[in-house]
Amino acid sequence: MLKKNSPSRREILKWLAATMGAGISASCTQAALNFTSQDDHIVSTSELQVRVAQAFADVIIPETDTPSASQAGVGKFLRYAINTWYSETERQTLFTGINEIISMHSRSDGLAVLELSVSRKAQLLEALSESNPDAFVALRELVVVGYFTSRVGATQALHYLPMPGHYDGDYQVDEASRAWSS
Amino acid sequence: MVKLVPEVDAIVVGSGISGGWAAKELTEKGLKVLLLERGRYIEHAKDYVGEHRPPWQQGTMGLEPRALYQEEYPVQSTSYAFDETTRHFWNNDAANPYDFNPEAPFHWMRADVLGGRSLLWARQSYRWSDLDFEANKREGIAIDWPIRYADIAPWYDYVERYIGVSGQPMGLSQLPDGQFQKPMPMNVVERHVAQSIASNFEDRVMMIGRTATLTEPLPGRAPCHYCGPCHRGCSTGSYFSSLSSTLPAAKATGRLTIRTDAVVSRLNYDTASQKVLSVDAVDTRTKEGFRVSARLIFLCASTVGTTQILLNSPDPRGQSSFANRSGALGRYMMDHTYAAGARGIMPGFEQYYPYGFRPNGIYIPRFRNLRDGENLNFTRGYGYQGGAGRLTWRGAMNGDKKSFGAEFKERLSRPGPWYVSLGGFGEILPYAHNEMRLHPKRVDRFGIPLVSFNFTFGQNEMNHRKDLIEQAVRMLESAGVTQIQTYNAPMVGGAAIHEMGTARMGDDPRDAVLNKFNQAHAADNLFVTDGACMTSASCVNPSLTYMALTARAANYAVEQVQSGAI
Repeated sequence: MLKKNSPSRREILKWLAATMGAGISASCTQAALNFTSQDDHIVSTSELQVRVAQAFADVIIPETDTPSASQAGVGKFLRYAINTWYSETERQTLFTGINEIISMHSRSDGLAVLELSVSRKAQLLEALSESNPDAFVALRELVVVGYFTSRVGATQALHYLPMPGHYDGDYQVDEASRAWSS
Repeated sequence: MVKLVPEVDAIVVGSGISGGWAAKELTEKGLKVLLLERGRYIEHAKDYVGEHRPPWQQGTMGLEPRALYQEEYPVQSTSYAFDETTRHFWNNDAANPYDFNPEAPFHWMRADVLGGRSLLWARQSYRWSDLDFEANKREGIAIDWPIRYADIAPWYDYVERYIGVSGQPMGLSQLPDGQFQKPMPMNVVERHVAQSIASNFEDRVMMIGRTATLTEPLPGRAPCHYCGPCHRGCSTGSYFSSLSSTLPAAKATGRLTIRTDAVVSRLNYDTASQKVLSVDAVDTRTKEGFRVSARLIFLCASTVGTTQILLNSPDPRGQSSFANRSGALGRYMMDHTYAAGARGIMPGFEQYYPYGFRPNGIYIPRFRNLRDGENLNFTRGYGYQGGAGRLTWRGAMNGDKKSFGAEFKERLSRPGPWYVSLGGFGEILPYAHNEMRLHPKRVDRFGIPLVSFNFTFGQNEMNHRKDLIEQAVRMLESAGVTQIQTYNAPMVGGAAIHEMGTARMGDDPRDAVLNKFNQAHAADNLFVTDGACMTSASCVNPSLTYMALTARAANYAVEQVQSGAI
């Protein structure tokens, strides 16, 4: 069964329909809602993987003196990138890795991975970088691109400089200086 | 067929870098001009909708619609300047296709708006020298140019003053100095590399690029504010384009009529008078044809666009084009070799980080085959463009398949190590077999035959490319650059977006399409002043030469009109 503080299957499917917009038809959503399975753990093949990816975003880009990936809205970015922007091949590469993470932790319930401590998640991510570097690099790239192109990442982690006004090829910086974002 | 424009003296086909100049010169000299442009109408500043757009507003959450690019922009999206901030300027490959051959790809990069590729160009502006104009004759390759540097030099002066070229005079015979605004500065690492090259290679210099981006004001145009990506459009007019510069000047005369969404299909030729009598065009929105006529015709539709029109313009006496009695039309196509070179990491200099995004890099002018007896396995030469900067988060993950977490985030948030990059642009020789032609059966949505390409690279190009990669490594090594990597992308015709030739200039009508004033040998009221006119390619970026040839041809044409010769 789903854990109490996890969204219900219906909530997840409604959310999916809303975020995917025209990508999923009303009848398809209804059919999915009416479907009853003996195994209620599997809410939707991709939904679980997306939520695991989201759960690992802050392990890759944690909160420091600047906001974390999830604080910058990378969760929403990951959902769009994985469900809509990714090709089927890219999605399979990532999902294979995420399924490895899930099975590394527990064979019975994928959702349990979502609740792990940061240090345990970091262990699993490190293990993934050994067992499936392609999937690790793919997940990390999505989180990094989502973060540094977000408003929060581009203006807080980086120094947003939309209108320099002049060029100085000998400009001096120190260790506290951030990279430019434009 | 209805004649929609009352009376004009001249028709200019195309509003890009050459067409804009033709419109300006002809109207300023008193002619009434109709400018036909196949793309849609856009306005300077107002329609630069991608300008200054922050990263998080590009595409959907910063991601490009890749599937759409693959379906509708498979060729155009290969350009460095193609993304969601510029897509609205580019040709839709699905709507306006050509006969693309995946086995031997040719990239025809096209804009589809008023102003054409002058909005998207890289702005590098270099003069030719007599080393270039005399090369074919000296080496017995193709045919001789009908002009020399002295013929075009005053027109380079004229064009440079008007468009605004920032650059450093260097006193080099192979790359003549011009009328420059003050140069943009090299950064601290570029100066270090330049000093190293100067002291280790007596035949080579590295200088700041000469670019049509302003460092000093011109009327109606402000100096660069260093925001970076010029190709999104510049509402301060800081880089030269038809929209920022030549079309406003032509409009100011009150003698310019612009008709956009009008694709020219053919010219109608009269054998008896040896003149082009009229121009047939199609309204791209209604698909209705119309015909216009004028005393003078300037074809400035881009190399491929212009020759497509000429190939589709029959000789009433025969099957072929009226402009192809020489057999050279569509042939001797050139481009530059591109996307080969070397780059690496420059240790140190961590206390420096350039402020501002300079839309210009460095240039190393040609140093090969400047004198006889160099004993190389290729003729002509190449120049390098490149620069130094600090890696960003995008490049900081390369080769690292392990890191994540707080330290990783910290590293990506700071300026990365300095990199130095040198990429070559090499001269491609004019080969008869490098050609474009009309497809015998396939037509576009307006009934105009599609263009096919046959473009390959010769041994000379392969050999100079190998040399330019080796020499780039040597220069980088001499400057102390480490972790040097060479690159050598697959060679694709058109990829440098310097496609030229196909209606070459030459004194003899038996082997050339145009004479020394860009006037068609077959029709004295027809001028071709875009890249199609080129007889050889040099290794420098060609747009400045197109502009100078256009201004020169317009001056000559108006003299001929005034004297009654046309």
